[in-house]
Amino acid sequence: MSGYRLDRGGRVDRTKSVNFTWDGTRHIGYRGDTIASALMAHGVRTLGRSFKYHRPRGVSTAGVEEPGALVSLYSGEKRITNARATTTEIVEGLEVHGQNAWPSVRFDISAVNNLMGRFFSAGFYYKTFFGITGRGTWEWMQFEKIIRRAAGMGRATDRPDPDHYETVHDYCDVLVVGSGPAGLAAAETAAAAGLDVILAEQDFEFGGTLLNGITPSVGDLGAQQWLTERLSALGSAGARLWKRTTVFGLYDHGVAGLVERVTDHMANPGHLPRERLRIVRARHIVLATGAVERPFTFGNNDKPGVMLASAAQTYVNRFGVAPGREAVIATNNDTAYSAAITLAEAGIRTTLLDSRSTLPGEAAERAKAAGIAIRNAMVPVQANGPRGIASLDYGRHQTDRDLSEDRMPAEVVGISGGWTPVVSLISHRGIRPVWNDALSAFLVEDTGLEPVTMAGSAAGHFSADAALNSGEKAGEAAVAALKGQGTVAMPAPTVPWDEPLEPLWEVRDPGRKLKCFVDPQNDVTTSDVRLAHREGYVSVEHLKRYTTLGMSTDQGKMGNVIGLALMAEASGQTIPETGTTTFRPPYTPVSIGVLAGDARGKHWRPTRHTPMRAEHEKLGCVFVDAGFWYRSWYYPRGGEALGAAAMREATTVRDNVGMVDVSTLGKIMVQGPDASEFLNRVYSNAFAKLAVGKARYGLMLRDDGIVFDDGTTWRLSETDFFMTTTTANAGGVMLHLANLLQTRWPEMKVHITSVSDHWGGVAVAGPKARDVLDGACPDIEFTDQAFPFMGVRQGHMTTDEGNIPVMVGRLSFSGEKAWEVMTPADYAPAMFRSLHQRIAAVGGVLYGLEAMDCMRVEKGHVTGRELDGRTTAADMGLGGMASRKKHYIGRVLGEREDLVRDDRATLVGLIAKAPNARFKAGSILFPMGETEGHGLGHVTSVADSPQVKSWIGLGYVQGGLAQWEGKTIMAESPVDVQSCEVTVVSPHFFDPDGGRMHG
Amino acid sequence: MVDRSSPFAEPVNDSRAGITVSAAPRGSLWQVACWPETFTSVEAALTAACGCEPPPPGHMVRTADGRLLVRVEPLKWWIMGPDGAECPLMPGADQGAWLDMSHDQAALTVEGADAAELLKRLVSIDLREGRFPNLSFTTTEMHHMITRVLRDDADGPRYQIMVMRSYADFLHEAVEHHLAQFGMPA
Repeated sequence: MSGYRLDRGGRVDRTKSVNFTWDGTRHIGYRGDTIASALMAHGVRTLGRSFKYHRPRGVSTAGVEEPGALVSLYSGEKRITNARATTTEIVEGLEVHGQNAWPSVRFDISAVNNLMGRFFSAGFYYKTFFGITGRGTWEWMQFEKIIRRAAGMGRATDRPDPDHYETVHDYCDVLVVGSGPAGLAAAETAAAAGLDVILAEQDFEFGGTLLNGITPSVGDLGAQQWLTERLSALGSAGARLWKRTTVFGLYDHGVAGLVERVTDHMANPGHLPRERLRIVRARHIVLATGAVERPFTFGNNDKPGVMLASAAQTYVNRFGVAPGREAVIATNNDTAYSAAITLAEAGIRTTLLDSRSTLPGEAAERAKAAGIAIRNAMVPVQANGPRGIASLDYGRHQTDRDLSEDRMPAEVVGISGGWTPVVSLISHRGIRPVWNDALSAFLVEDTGLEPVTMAGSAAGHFSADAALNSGEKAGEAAVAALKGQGTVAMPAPTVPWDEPLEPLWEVRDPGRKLKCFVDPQNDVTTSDVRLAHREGYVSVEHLKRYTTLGMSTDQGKMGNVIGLALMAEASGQTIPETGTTTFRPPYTPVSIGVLAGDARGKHWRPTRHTPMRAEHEKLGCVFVDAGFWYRSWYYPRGGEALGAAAMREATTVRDNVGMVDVSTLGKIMVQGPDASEFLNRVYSNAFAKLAVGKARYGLMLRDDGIVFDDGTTWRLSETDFFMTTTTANAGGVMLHLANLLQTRWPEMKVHITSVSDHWGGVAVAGPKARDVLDGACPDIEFTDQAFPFMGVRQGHMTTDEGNIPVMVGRLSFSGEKAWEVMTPADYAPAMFRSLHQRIAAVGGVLYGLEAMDCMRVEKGHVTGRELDGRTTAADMGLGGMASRKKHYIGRVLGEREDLVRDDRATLVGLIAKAPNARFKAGSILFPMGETEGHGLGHVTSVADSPQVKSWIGLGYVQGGLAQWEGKTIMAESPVDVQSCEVTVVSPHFFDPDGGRMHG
Repeated sequence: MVDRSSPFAEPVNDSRAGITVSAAPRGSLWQVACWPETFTSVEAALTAACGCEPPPPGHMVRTADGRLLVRVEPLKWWIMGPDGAECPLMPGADQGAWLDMSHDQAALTVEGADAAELLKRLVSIDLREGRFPNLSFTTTEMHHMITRVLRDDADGPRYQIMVMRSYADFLHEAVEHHLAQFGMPA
């Protein structure tokens, strides 16, 4: 026999049944049940298997510290692993599965590991698998794969998470963590003083120890009434009350990370996110995080049925579930008497073993009155039973040993070895707790410069009155800190017990070989701790890493202090001399999904669209991602593939006319009386004398002389310039210019403003470009005389929908006669429609990025692929643009010896030698016969050229044209080991003298 | 003149209990800038032209003709108003500069009692009543995008969230994504 539902009691709603399954078997619980309480009510004892030995694990706590009752929820893509049965609410339709076992947790083949347990001591893997064949690390790497497959807890799904998550930013004056008596008192005090308060509770109910009978009353009020009144008062004061919300980490300057479980308890969550990451910026934080009861170890203390005494009390009082019919409560302190009385009053036959010789008078009397048999100076020695506990050997407790005396029937053993204040969150801030001998616990005495106050049992105030008082003081401290009212003296921790706690970490019977678990999740025993010490791992941090003590989902919430105490004992030191472990975020496990938030799928990064996107879509455009931009790639006709479409588009532009969307170019207005001089200093070529109504191609260098960006700048007036940058570098150039103005030349009267999105633009290119534009803009004449190459005009375009303002520059990236036409973005669709009609009328085309790239490669024009952060102007064949008559950014360092070497790799053209042969961008270029090393250079861009009628490319080659023109070299793709013979030629494959774009 | 096209591919008008999201009307946005030594004179001229007091840091003021004036950088102001509104001050180069940016931004209006609750999912600024009251303006970041948030209450809290025009549809998608949960039982 084991657990069962009591006829009455508990906070569950017995009128609301909830159906769920456990390993495929249907069960019914009540609203308000956790998986643990619902399964306990059905007599299920084994919920999990341990990490290493696959020993059966039952419910040992009623909270987040649970090390053994870890389960998987749902299946397929919704599978959630390592869920704590003790904190997960049941919900209609919930599927609960055992994990880390086959075929089931009730009967697990891998439990054979337990028979070989004596070989699986701490460090077993490293000791064994590093030395079998003498190949050290290599050997370990092979075994590691097998070991990792055999280890682990739940198996995560490899399918996309179907749930969604979000991040929410919150601010408050005071964040109170924990809603027990201290937290509620602190929150109410702060809220009553007019502060903006957030109260965060990890449980699905507010109240902490008010919920489970540990704090049955506060003052003259019963727990429930006091709780209800406090929540009501907080609500009236405008405090935000968040349950199911775990504060998992504290960060700099009052920033806290919280996870809110939004829908796990809902059968139909609708559009709500499963979890919310709340980033809270608080001016002050009160940590009323409570304390976790800790066990002491004895033989087979990991068997299902062994649990914390407070957990047994919680299952009875909060969930109306008896954990068994025969109970033993074993303790070294007074608090477990309350648990024993709760069990006895629920009709559970209860025996209390107290390790102390002297019993607490009043508590003992009440226990006896409840029919509890009390045995002083007695401890449990070993739990017995095939899976769960059936009986308990117990014996007399002595200073250095415990002797088995007798055996008693027991289905549940509740252990209380004292209380560990939860100081994890303040530890995240680098504050180290200090050992308190009287309470036998680590406490934080001083939170230093942190805007944090500890309260309640987290600060060592274990009685209801003391917790309440410390909570009120913490609230006052927050008020004083935020209102500049000085400091508030916090009460010192008090010892709440009639009889002092007797430190007890391990029950030992020299006559018996006991398997005592310090960390039941990771199968770390007391012997492992001593072994680690014998092998020299005396540091607590080393102990953790060697034995895995305190790792995994529970992070040693129950076992760390015991491990530390055993290490201290083995070292002949005190606990504070031995050290403490450092807690790091997260306090409890956080799903990867909630950390990602909504930054996934199409929300992974922003996308940008040009103002003409809808027009492109109507015309069947295929788009391509280019950075954040969604750019028109090609316009297939009749099922054309990319290559064929781009070839047709490029050919039509060369023969006729085409139009491409150039809205993605970076655009910056440079204004002011010093704008001309500013540009002259920014660009390597001269800008001081650029005439109004003219544009100029400019090369911008970094301070180190390397080319940073290129583009054109249009002079609109004496003091207004319109600069275009490459699409990819728009933001970078803006920052560069702002930096120069702020730090280098703050005296210059220049304003720069990004207008990238104010303007939409197209380029109309091809022999018939003038035919298209002639008449489109009645106030602009497009003849060579009136509008020469690099001219700029402002006027209007007439469209069927009305007139729109335009700014036109005669520029060419394609090498054809071309104009770039800019209009305010909201008018760009109208401009596009109008020009498209004109282009179609003369047999022209729309062309996309692919054709544009092909044509610029034919012309030898550089883009970001050539401006790769390593090249100089001379490397690109643009050395003539590096003025020697003026100062500009990058001039001096650009003349460093290494940057002007004759043998630097310079830009060349490449043509595949064999018909139909291809080579790839990124290929390494080698002299014929060589395939090793760094080669001569590399290929930057490639294109299938309709003009050259071959596969062509641009690349950098050491020695450049001077050394290699006309010669054959090899393009070797290092990725797919493809080779192609290429001929080195001028990078200007087509119309090298520029007659087509000038004429 | 041609009708101005919306930066949003789809119509934006989603109303739920406590929250309404719509595309802000396409309006005018003028930037007026000055030099450090002309700040006083340009500010005086600008506020005189606008018929309003200088805007305090982080806040907008309403001009006499109902536009919103805000100082977006130490030496720059924005004047936001209806489509077609002229620039109230065009300082010469010796005084500063002016610039039409009317097409540069896309904005969604988020209004209603839960408007701030929705915005908390998009931007990390403190939107509490005391910290971001009516006529507040700030520049912040949303998912790598420079974002402006302003508050211009009507019958209740009303915010505009502004991004560069090319991000309009991404902003819309993000808002719709988070909006889906509103009006649902919490």
